[in-house]
Amino acid sequence: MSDNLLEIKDLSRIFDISKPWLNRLIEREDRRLLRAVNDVSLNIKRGETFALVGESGSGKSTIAKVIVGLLAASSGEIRFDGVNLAEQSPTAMRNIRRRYQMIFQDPFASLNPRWRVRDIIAEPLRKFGMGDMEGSSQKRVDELLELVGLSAKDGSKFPHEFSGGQRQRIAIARVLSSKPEFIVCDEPTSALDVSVQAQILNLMRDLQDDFGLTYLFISHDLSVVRHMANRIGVLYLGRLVEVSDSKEMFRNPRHPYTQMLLEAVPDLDMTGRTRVKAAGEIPNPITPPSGCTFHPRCPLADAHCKANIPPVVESDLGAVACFKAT
Amino acid sequence: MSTDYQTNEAKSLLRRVLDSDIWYSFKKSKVTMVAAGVALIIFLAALLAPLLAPHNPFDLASLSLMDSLLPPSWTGMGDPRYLLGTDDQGRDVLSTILYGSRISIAVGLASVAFAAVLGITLGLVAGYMGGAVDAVIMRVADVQLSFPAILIALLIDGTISGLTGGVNREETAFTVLVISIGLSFWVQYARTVRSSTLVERDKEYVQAARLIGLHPFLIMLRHVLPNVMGPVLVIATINLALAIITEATLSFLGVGMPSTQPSLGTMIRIGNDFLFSGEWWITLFPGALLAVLVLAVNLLGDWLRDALNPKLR
Repeated sequence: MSDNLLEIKDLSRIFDISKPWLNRLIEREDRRLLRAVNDVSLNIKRGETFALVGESGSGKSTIAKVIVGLLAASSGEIRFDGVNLAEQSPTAMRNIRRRYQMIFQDPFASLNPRWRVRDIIAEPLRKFGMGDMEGSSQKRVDELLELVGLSAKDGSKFPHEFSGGQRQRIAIARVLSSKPEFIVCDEPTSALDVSVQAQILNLMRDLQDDFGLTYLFISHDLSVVRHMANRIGVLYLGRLVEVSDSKEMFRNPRHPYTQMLLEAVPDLDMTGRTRVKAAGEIPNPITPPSGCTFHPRCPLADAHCKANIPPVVESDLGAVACFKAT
Repeated sequence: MSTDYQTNEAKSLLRRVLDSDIWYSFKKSKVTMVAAGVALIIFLAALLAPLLAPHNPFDLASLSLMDSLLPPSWTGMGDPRYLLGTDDQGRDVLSTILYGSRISIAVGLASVAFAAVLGITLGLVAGYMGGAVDAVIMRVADVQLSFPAILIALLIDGTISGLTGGVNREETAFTVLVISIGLSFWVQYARTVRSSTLVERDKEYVQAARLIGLHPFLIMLRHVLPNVMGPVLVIATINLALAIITEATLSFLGVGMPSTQPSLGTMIRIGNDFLFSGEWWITLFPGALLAVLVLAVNLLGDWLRDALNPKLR
């Protein structure tokens, strides 16, 4: 058994955002392609929490959707527990699908408003044929509700009767019902109040300890990431610019973009120090800058950076894609 | 444990209806309550026609041409047995209206159900699948929408009658009417359902269902369908009035129900021939009932549209 639960190699996802065929023909325009994810490679170890951070439009959610199969990869491969997901037969995929799940960002959209909570949680059970007997699936739903801090009686209610935090708990109960090993969390707390965020994050950590879960945690909130992650990958414009241990990254960020992000984190320790603002905006991914895509915002950039794409260099400290990194 | 849940649900269903915004807005609107009352009376009268009607207009043995074209009884020239007079065959107008509204309402309900099932299915598939399937279905819908519904219904009715050679007209008239009216009304359902489906399709609960590998057909049926049914209910109510009118129009034009099984439209057509010779009652009473029925159903539809529209609350 390999140490890595998930291995992603040279993953790219390209969106075709061209105008319709007839418009292109008449207006003599070419196809327009958007590379949302660009040659991303990463490994996630069994039992760890790997965080992906980046600004809006950096491709975080696209990676999540490609991993769980909601979007097809344009190129590259995804190996889950050693098997290439693209090569599996439909019957084999049925078994593999049970083993990964996803927690969505918006708990107000992720639960079907017409379904009772009990049915929402039991849906994966029914799909994967777990707990076929009437009673056993009912019992499992009650257990799950109590596991996430709700009451078994809540099963007969509808999602609109719950608050955002409670809904996210229901979403977590649904995710856990099929006993997955790997859970993709796509900004699971960004739609919640700060006070509720901590409860949900702590619940997720407890569940991780109890069930030995592996998380891919996607967020733009670095303080949340610091709380949750063992390792962090920083995305910029669809490329992974730095991967390293959580502690190492916060102590010693090596990529200038990571440094800029960390500068912008609100932090009590920093009182009195002048903060360097995150300068500029993420460029348009349809026409990305040449060379290192970060060079228009980078304080260290020179002519070499503008012309060449920096390769990802691995070292003991982690991986970084920057010519200037030390 | 599970029975405990069920009693809870049964209780909460009644409570939910009584506590709901819809029930509240129903109680607030006098017009709607009157319309609902009128519609209910007409529906019940139509349903119970065999019990309520003083005569059976389909029993040919009971008809006598001696009794034909009698005016309503209160005019003094009529016969007390025939309250609203008789038609040219000697059929009691009141009984024929009761049986006729039965046919009209049955055609209306059946064609609305047919149009709704067809339209919802095609709209769901078009919205959820997208791409070429969507394009083909919606272009057909667009083309059909550029013709008046009555013209489509006439065309389909004519085609089916032509294919069957007009034989067994009396037995097939009902089915042919339902198919032709249904086929001319499906577009509205399909367009509405498609646009709601486009919104629901990208919501995260649908993604969660896709993620566990649920078949697209099941996702449409279990997840998307219950969430796009609200507007359909409104369209169906308003279309019921339209379908009844369309049936009456087709019957008036002579391509609908035959005169042996008269619907309200057929009766109006028959009476129309006698209108200028002074026998006004044959056409007036079915015409008035048709107008009242359509008005009541339309008012209900308008109210439902407003009650379900969150922007007007």
